[in-house]
Amino acid sequence: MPGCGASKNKKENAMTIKITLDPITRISGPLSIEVEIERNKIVNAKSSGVQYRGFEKMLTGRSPLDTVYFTERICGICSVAHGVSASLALEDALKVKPDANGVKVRNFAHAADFLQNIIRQICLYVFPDYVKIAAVPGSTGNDFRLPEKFTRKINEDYIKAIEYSRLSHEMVALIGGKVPHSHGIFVGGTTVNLDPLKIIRLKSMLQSIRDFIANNMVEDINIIAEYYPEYYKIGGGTGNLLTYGLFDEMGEGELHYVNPSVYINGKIDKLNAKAITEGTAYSWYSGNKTREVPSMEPTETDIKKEGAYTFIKAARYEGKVMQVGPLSRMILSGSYKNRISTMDRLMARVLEGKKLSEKMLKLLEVIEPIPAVQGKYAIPESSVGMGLKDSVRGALGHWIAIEKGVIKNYDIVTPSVWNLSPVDERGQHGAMEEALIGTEIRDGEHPMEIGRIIRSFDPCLSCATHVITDCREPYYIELI
Amino acid sequence: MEVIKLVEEAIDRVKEGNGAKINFIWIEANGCAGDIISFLNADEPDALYFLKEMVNLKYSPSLMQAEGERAYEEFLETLNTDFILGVEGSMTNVENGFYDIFAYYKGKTVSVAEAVAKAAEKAKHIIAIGTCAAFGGISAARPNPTGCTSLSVFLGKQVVNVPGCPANPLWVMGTVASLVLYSKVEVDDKGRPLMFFKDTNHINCERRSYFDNKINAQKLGDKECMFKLGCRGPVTKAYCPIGRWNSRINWPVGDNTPCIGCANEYFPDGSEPFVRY
Amino acid sequence: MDRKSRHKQMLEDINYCNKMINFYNCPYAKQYWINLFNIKMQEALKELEAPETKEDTAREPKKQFTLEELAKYDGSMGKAAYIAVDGIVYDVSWNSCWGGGTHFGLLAGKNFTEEFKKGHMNDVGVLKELPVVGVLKQ
Repeated sequence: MPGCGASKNKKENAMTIKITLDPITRISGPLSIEVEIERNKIVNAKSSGVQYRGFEKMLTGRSPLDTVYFTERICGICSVAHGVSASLALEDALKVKPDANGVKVRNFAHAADFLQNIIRQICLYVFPDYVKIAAVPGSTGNDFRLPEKFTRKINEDYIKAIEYSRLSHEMVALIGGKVPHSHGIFVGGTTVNLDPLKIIRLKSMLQSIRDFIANNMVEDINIIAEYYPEYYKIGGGTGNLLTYGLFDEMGEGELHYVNPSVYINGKIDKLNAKAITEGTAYSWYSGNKTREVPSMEPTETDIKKEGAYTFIKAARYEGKVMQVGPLSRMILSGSYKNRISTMDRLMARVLEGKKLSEKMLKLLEVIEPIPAVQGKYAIPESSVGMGLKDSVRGALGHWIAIEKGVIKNYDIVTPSVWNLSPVDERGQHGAMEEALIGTEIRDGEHPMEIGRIIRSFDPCLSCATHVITDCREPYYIELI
Repeated sequence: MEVIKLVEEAIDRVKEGNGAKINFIWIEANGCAGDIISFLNADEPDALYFLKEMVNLKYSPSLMQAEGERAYEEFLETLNTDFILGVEGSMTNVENGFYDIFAYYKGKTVSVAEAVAKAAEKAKHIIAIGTCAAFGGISAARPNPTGCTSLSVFLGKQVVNVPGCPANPLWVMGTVASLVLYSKVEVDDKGRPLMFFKDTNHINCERRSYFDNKINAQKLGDKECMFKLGCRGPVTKAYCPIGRWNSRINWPVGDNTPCIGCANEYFPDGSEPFVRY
Repeated sequence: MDRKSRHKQMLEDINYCNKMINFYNCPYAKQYWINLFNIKMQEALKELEAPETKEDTAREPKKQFTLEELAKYDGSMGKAAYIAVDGIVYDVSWNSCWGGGTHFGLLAGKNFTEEFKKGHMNDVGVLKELPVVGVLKQ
């Protein structure tokens, strides 16, 4: 049948329907979702990351300077974010004070990758949920409400999005050499030698991208919000918000965006990096202990574990479930009203794109067109370092421990480990599972709500499931 | 430029009516999904033009509209047609392929390994896109926790290998154009298209005069030869100094950093350490 | 005769010719030694232009490296990169496979006899291309 397709297993009481959606398409990486529906309402949801590679294990024993380019390969769509967090962790461990101009250039490249993400996620991944797109075969098949003229407009913008997202990556490549998996993001700042020609080129690219986001995309998302207003009421998830900050080191003026902070029970607080934990009660790893981040204890994968259903671990802050991403940043920076829902996440993502592109134009004015300032960074015998910075999907942390001049342990906690986490040992569901639970499904044959809620979180599975801890000293990143 | 001419010819042929556009299945195996993102960065021709005129993209987890069982059904339907199979990411088949799942269909889990094997049987042409698919790549980096192998090793036969981390969109475009136009592509002994993998990055590097005169960069960011900092250009066959990256804007050496040999058979273990002062 | 001794002999011959030119007053004798001097100079210039051959280096007395001395040539910070295989020390500073003085995670400045045997079982000939700089002290 057309639409999202659902595998239905009728339970004995014929009242609960179980639907498994796999593959969830138009996200980054393989995700499987299982929901239980009673009386047209989702009563339980399981988010399963069904991919696993094991980056933390691979990094052990390697040269510390390799982490920047190595960890970028965790994710193809947000590689720059990993390069940035890895560089920050190395600067911490190597006691390197990065060049001020280099940091601005690095932040610019990071933000340019944000724009690429936002354009592709909204236009290529999310639009087909609400509008039939002609450029790609197939269809989600159902519940399309937009009149012909808006359908045409969004189809046109889908096509334009391909060009503008490519242009965003061209901006990154001007600074980083290539993208995905750039070289110009590194310890100390950047490696590119800027000059007025490169600056004006960046400016011209940025202006056209800014116009596309601020005009076309804002209009498009508002049109969708108008015709699908109920999505302002469903798929919220926890109201606890977390961010590691973005453009927080750019002073307190116009360039500043959001500080590392949390919002819990009505209060905004500074981030306490020691309050983070990672649990494996329902994940395919042996043992059920909730550990601090970073931590070193042996562990292995256990794919036969009773009750486990995902490779993603459960990240918690002070034991609480948190939500991360553009909506968290926009609310915590005071740029968006405090309201959590599917449509709010989508709206916040687009509005953040507009905000960032405007900040980037201002940033370009203070970036000096000078050669890169790099050093010959000495590796200490032993050291530890931490790099926390928000990527487009939310809080991204890298922790490095160096011993005998090589990597002893490397921990990574990605934003999707927050949003897509399974239920923890206290029975608390992760943000996305919670967002799904309680949602009313209008049409049991085509449960469009599931995919729409999922995509509003912008999942990235290659990020969420890189972790593999094995029988050596485990890295459990526990944010405490 | 070679690639543009090739693609234009292919399109004319298609328009002449030498059969309908061939179908294309793009599978994301155990990797970072960076190759599809890289492919979306294509220009002259761009991804949209190429997909509209060259192939019917019937399956792509990143772009297709259907989801769940319907998506898997579209995959199965395409198997009964003429199609090119492109796989990015490495193949893991340990524990019945548990570490990389493709779909859940009618009560059963389908691993990527199973899906790829099914598709490879029926595909007209098979392309391994990116170093992970071509040679194992970073998914298979020591100690290779999930037993990843290249597509050729998994299938037990040589396929067309377009390595690169990620695969440069020019290289993918040119390869598919050659298949669509001539039903073949000239490859070397490792299955790599000779169009792009004949010379090392060293042969055409813009910094050769520095290398030849032994004038070395001391650190990243310098404009001289990167060899003493760990550049793998001399041992890496690829097209980077000529076609460059991201609409030909730049490339790692041009960005004052060493080449890390990301298109090599032994990347990343054979390239480490990437940077050394 | 090795290169150094050859050059020494040439210099001696040229100096001797010069001496003889100044010794003789007879114009015919003088001219003889002038001609001989020119011939020796031409040979010497040719020798200077000729590249050093493998035989030349083979015949030169070998510099002896202890493991400690070898470790100094690890290719870092612009230093030369040397490796030892089967007692012979090779210069890999400008060998394609040794960018940054490293090769598959190995850092130059060490004895890699075992690693070489493992990694180049069927490929021992690669060593022939490498310039020799000495021997490992036993």
